[in-house]
Amino acid sequence: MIGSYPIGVFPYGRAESEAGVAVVSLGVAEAIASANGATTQVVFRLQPTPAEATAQAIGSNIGLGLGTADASASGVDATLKLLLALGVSEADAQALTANIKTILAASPAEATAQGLLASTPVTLVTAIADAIAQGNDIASKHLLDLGFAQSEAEANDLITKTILETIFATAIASGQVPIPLIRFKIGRAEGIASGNNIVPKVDLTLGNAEAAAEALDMGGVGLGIFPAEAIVNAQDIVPKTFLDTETGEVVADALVIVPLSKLALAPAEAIANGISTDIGIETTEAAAIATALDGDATYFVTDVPDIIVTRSADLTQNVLKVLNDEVGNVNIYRADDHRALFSKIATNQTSPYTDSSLDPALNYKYKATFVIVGTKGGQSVEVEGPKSDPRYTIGNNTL
Amino acid sequence: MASNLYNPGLEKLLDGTIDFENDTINVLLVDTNHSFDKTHDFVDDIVANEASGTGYARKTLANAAIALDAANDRVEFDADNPSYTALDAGTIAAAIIFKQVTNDADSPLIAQIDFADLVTNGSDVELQINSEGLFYVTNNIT
Repeated sequence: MIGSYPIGVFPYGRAESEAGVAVVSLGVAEAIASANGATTQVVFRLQPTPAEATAQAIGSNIGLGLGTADASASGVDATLKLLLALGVSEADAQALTANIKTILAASPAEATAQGLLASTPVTLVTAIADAIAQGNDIASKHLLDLGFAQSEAEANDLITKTILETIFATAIASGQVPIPLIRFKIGRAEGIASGNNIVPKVDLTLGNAEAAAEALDMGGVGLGIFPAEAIVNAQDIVPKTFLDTETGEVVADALVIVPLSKLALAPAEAIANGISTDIGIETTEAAAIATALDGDATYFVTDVPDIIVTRSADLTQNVLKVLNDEVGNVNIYRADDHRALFSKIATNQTSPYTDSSLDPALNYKYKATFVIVGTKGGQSVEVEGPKSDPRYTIGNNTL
Repeated sequence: MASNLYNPGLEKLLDGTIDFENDTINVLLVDTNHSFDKTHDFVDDIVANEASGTGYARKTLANAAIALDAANDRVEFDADNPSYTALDAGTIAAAIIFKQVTNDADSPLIAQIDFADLVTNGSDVELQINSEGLFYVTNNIT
């Protein structure tokens, strides 16, 4: 079935044709269809139940759909389009050269799409399995729509847009320099991030957790995940990164001068790698904490007693008298010899104080302090001031 | 009771309404009926429980100063200890730091400094400010 205006009927199915269009429908066995040459439009609708189907179109515009088995489609040369729709098994599509579009849709199986060179849009839709999309060079677009599996998207170079939408799975998006736009819709919540030219901002609100990211100066990418981790890359000059997630870890790399970012997420981990210099990580809240400090209210005494000591004629008593009474009560210290140490002999005494039962054979010396006895914190406290000058007794004389 | 800063007062400290080093920063004493409310903003909110009696008067904090404690990553607000001579004003329970403007209604509260209740008995009393200051703002560097 080669050339213009083909009409073909295949052994195990039924075929219809129109001008420049071929439609093939298969039942159980194999089907091989090839279309060569320019300006040919070939549309294959292959619906074998257990068998295989291979479609190759050399020229433009190829469509291919399979029910249960394997499918492989290759489109070569310019303005190719590949369409793959698979039921259960694998799909592998490659589109090379410019203006290629690759669309993969698989229900429970794997889908891989690669678009290379310029102006390559890539769209992946899978239900349960993995999907990988890579778009390189200028003006690429990535669309991911996943059911329960993982997704990875890398968009490189100029005017990159990345949109991720998953239901319960993880999502990764990278947009790089300049004018990146990033939009997330994950899990049960939504996150929208956008960065426009210089000083982009990325805001994410996801699931039960929160993620917020701001990238300053030339491009930024923010990413958040429902229960797990979050990664943010801010690129170019003076990037800033802020992450706040609920349960997981946070890793942030800030890279200088058009770095590439690659994000890969499982349900648990997140890693962001960039190649360049300057890495900034900020994982906890920045805070200034004001704290007032307890003080202490205390009685205080600065006055010093001015005392005199008078010894009785029989040398058995000394009377200590305070000549000034700024505070009132005093503590009294005595040394039992002029060379002995002072010890407190009386507390909170009024003046004059009589010290009796003394040894007539000894000479004594005295000091005194003013004292305040009060209540602080519900407890009795005693605060005394500085000691007075000593007063000596020699015989019944006082010095 | 514990020592705390008033939220409006903290805001005024940070926005410059209160210049701790150059404004008149006063202290008043309150009795045990006082309870701290972080939303209180002016002296007239707490004046009902201010101490009164012989020897009591509001004091102006001398040498109010702000200093960086680099080792502890914080800025400390400190002043000299105020003292009261022959104070007989019942039981005092806390000191309130505020900026004196013109009257109680326009004098913003800054902080409450707690201390063990002291029964005044006509003795001299000194309010001893913590060695780290009245309060400080810590830069929580991680």
